[in-house]
Amino acid sequence: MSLHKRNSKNRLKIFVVLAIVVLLLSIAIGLHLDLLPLFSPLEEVFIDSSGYIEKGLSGPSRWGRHLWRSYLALHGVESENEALRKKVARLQREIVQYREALIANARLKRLLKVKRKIRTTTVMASVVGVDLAPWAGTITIDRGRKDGIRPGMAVLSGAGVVGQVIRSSFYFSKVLLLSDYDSAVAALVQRNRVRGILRGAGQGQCRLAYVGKEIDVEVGDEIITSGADQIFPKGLLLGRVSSVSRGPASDLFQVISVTPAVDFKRLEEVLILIKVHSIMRSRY
Amino acid sequence: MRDGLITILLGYTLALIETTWGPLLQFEQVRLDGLVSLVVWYGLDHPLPGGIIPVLILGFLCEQLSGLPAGLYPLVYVSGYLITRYILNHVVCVTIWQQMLLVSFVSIEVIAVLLVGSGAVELIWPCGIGQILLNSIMAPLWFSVFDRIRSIYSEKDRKGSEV
Repeated sequence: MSLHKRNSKNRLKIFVVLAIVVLLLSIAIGLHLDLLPLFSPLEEVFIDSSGYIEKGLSGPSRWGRHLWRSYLALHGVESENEALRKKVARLQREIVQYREALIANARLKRLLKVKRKIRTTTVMASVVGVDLAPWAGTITIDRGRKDGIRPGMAVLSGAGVVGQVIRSSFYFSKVLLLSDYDSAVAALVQRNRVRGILRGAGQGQCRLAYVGKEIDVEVGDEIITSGADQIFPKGLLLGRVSSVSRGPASDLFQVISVTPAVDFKRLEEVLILIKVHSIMRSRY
Repeated sequence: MRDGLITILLGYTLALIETTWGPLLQFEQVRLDGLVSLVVWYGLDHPLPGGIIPVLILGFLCEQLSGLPAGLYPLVYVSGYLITRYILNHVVCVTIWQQMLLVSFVSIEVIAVLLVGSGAVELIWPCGIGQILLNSIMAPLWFSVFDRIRSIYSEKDRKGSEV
């Protein structure tokens, strides 16, 4: 029995050795005779089928790898996200500050232009408050008697006339806006030099009073200061005519609505014209 | 005495807030205003003659923050206080709706006198009416704020006296 087993083992060894020799010989002959391309379709079928299998198997593995990487990455992302959010917030604040500085710069440039044009002593002030009554047109500015400001001084902005100082304390002053019901300024229609009185009509509007019906006034005409009131220098822009109405036949004068050149709701900085005689009057 | 001082301080703070943040609390010519409610709230608990003095002082302080003709604010607040006291002699205003009604009565007087006095009568409709309605609607909220403030300092007093 053991003899039979040993013989079969020896036969198997001989067969394996012969098979290897035959395989090597056939490879050598195949290479020599360039017979390998004959096997390429078979190779392709093998590569394709294994590719599909690999692809099928690699899908979950790729997903697993991705999941793992994402999980690992999340640890860092959370803190990075927080840092980026803070950075974005800081940059947005900076942008707002720069924009604000840019707008302020433009406003101040306009004021400076007015200041150069007027050539009298001026003081710049910021608006710090509005009137307690919503319909009343007064504002509070952060300059007072210590800066030489007295009642009766003209107040301007880059766009035109704002109003006049009506009260001043040591550090602050009250300014009556053109649109207040109590305001009146000697005015002139720039195009035809017709004189009138620009009176406040409330709600940010004015009326040009005492202009006769025979006088030609058109919508869009510019109204400027005439200088007759001794408060505002001549030639400063007050506003533009927004509507003209003849009014009832019994009335002597036209009803002329004027939109002030200055937007009082957006007023931030103003320029006060310092008049020497005003200071003298208050001293003596 | 101390109630009066706190009312003056409270009123002055409200007035300052209104003049600095006014445009933010304002729609057209209607603004969130707690001063009328404050006068009524104070008038509910403080009888004549002593009660009128803080209201008068508050009126003078408010006048400094406005460009309206001199004397208008003291006049409207004192008359508002007197109206409150007069109505309280006839009706006990304990419920919210009664207090709202009281604020609206006083607001009608305050707004009408201020508008007529400043030469802006044409604003009575719609701005004046809008302001009166807003004052009455907001009155319960203001009353609760003022009550809360009063409870804070009276509690401190109570603790102080216990100690």
